[in-house]
Amino acid sequence: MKVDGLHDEADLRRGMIGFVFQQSNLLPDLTVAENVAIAGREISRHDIYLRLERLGLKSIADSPAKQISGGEAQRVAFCRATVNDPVLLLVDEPTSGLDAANAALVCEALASARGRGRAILVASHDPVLASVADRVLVMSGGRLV
Amino acid sequence: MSDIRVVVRSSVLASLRRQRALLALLVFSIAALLCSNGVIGAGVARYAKTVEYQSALNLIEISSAATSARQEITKETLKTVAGLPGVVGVYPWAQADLAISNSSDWPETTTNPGSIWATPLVPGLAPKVLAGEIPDSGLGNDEIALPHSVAGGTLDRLLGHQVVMEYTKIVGPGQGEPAKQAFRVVAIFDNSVPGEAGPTPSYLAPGTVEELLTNAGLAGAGPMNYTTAYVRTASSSDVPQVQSALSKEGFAVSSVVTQLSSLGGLFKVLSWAAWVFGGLLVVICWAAGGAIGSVWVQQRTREVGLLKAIGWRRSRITNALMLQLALVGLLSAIGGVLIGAVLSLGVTTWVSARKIELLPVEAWQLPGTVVLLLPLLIVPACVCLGGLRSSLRASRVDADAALRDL
Repeated sequence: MKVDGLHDEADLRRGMIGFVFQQSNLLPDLTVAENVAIAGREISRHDIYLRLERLGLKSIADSPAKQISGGEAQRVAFCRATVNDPVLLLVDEPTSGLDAANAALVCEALASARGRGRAILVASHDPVLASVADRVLVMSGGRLV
Repeated sequence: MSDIRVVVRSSVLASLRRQRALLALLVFSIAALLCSNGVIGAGVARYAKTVEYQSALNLIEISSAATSARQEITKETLKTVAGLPGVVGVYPWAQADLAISNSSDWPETTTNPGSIWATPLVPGLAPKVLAGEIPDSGLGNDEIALPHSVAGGTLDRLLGHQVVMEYTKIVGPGQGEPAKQAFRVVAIFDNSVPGEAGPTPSYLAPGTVEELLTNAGLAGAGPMNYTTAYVRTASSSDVPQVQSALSKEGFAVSSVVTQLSSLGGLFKVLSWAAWVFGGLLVVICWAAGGAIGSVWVQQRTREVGLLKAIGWRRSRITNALMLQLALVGLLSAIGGVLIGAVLSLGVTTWVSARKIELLPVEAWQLPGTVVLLLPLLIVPACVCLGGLRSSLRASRVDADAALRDL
């Protein structure tokens, strides 16, 4: 199968799809900037800091990932997922376990990505997040209802 | 910002912390082997070298008494011998009659211990010392090594004391008078098995013996003739060539080395002790490195799964893991080499101070340069090889399965 000229699974994951996991799954021994860098294709340090700044994370860019809060970690995970400007963003419970303020920041980031023409598929129990989606599909017992 | 470099740098530091027990074991193994090499390897190699170059094996005995002798042994003929290629020393051998002058120095004041024959100390033919020490540089002019056992008991209590020795000085035809000379006793040696020097010899510097012989008048008016002399060659391998040259000069010659052809091989084996330790190091590093590599990669499967999920290729993941393993191995090796070198310096100094006869290690010895450098290549290679299988397995983790597990 070829998607946009790419058929290698790694190329697809790296070039076209961004993942945001329910637990942010950052590498704890790496700094915030390094966690973003490992997903980027030949990205400069300056670009990484710029992207972190957009998400309000510049001040913690050099902090080890294991020392940041859950909300910050989720935003870093979002930054990592979007660092290659993927056409499709797969997001799993991005606001799970976050307080209202951090959840709002994540929603804002998702909205920003949508504004740049990215397709975003979000799995969530959060009604606030559902309210900003273009289309909401409800699943129950493994079926769409 | 290179993503491989980022992952490798941070993961290596984290791995060093997490795997500190195994790494400490590896570092300790390297250090212990290097230290052993420094002490035993260098000691054995030096022993082999000492035996080959400074023992009786590179001595040739020449005699003027043998029937095949056509040349007298005098100072003049010995000068010729000293000029032969491969010869590094010539020692005329003769004995002078000495006695302990003061009865208070005898083992029993009522029993005269009798003649204690002054014998030149020839390097390589030194007796087995029971107490005290015969310096490597030889005896001083006022120093003497006395036998342990003489008539009436032992001379052990004279060690470290000044002893007046007595001999007869020829003053005219058929006339003599007692002469005395004081010596400091520096060693007591084992004379339980009588050798060529007789049952109760004493050892002095060659020059001192010659002076005694002259004083005693044995040299006579003309040049002194010796019945025996020893010729030292640079190494035991030079003996046949020098022996042949001496025979051509008319001396009757004999040596030990030509009768012990198998010893050459033994010495070569002993001098390769350092390499034996190198081989042992390879085996231990292989085992320890393999264990570390394998455990380390298994512990990082979760991280590998994440990298796969965000689009890292198998080859990229394997390269990163191998690079990390190599760095962990290299850092362990550097640590082991540094600690091993310091330990070697300290332990050789300690062993040297113990003066172990079979392990004549000099103080402040480092293992050989090759042995020191070897772990820096072997350990990273062994750790990489040990972790290769696990790395390949980890890099094959299915990304979707990894996503579900995460």
